[in-house]
Amino acid sequence: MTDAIDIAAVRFAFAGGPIVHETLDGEVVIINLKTGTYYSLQGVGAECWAVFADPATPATLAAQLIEKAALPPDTAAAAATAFVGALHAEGLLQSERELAITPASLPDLPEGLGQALTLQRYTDVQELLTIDPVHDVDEVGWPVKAEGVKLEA
Amino acid sequence: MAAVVAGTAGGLDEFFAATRAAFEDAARRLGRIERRYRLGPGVLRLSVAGAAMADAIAGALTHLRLPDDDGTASLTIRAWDGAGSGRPMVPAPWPATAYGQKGEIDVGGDGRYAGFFQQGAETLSLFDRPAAEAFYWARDAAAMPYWERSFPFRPIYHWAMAGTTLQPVHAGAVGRVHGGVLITGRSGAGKTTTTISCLEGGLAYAGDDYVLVDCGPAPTVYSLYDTAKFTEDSLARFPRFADAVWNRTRTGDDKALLYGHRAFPQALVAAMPIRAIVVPRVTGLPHTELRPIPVTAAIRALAPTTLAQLPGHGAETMAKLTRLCAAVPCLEVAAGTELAGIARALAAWLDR
Repeated sequence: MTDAIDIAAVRFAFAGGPIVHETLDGEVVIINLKTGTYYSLQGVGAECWAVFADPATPATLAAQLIEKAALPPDTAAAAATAFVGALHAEGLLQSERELAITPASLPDLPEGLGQALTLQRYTDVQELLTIDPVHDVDEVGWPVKAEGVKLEA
Repeated sequence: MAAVVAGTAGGLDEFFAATRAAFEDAARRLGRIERRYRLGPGVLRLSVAGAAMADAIAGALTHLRLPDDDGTASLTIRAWDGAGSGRPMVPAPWPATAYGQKGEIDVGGDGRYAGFFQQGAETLSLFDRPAAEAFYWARDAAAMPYWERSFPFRPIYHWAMAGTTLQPVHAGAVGRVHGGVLITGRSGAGKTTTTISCLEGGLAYAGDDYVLVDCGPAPTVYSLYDTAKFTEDSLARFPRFADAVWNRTRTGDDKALLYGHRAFPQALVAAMPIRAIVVPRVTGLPHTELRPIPVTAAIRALAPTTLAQLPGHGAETMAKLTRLCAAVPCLEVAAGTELAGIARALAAWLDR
């Protein structure tokens, strides 16, 4: 967490850009189109994600966790900050101001809640994006011939 | 050619006009080949300069060919290559920084135009949205790799379907004429084995890698390509296909490419209603079982791998695929080692 900044009071929102997401049947699937990494949040985690459809603070999220999960205030605050920090670190949430957040671990939580608030991360599609990007172009602006590139799916 | 102004609508208009003129010049020099094909519920008009380019790209579309006439088309693609025409491509009007990681080109302008450069295949795809006209240029058609031959025009089809309920997806499709399944999943999950097992087992075949789906109220899969790609392991498991392999000389981890109109013409189907989305899982056990899975498990299997390879329209594509997965049953096929059982299990489910 950065010094002198109360993360709980900073507003966060869906990052947009290469981040696309859809929610269905209590699960949100989030994809980073730039990296190919995709994510899943289920149950309460999906509900917590939805909080940031409009800019909201971790304090707002903590208040919901107190209400919905009957967490003690300190635990809810720590859980909300850790949850937001994890999503921010993956570039899924953007903050209203530039921040460098060191992701924190979730506090001890009731059975199931900790899992729901843990971002599931999948990297198996990244291999489709590992092609070396265009570095050089020829004198009329077309990419220099790439040798040995294979992209069969 | 006169210099164009990068990133401006006028510059792009000039670039596309010059590209059209370059194609016409190549067609005059190499001979023009005009063909029409089914493209989902629409029609593709393909205009190719030279036999080498036609040979490279048209084989995968053979099963969709329509009678030659001057009827209307929903999309026109003009294709040629630099080596055959002996002329360089029109200079790019954008800077080197316009090329993105996946090959997307940030062409600038007002969104009318789109561009994609496929490294490895050395092909350039360009699209003029309101004109529904695309250009497909290859550095050398004769050197085009087998994998590009197996699924040409993917970015163009993706752009052309934006704003509709149609979407190219990274999936195979097999089944019956009255209903089929999409087979999708991460690399190595058993997609190819499942698809080929079903082909071997007598099910109809609409594709093994990319198909077009209608994500609207009546989910439908349309064949885009008649090709199948076999790993060496797959070829050993299904040896009757070995004689039909197109690329008999392969290097490294090249897959064997087969054209369906030569290898299994009786199995090819142009369209099927989608009855389910199937995510394979290799179990190592002999028997195959089908189990329902959550809709989101199918979305995780289908969406990332599709979105990773197609340029632009990410949010729209994600929404389409979510709608599709929500509209039909989603199943896991726990694929057994007794391969004939995979086709039997899916056929039995489809014939219920």
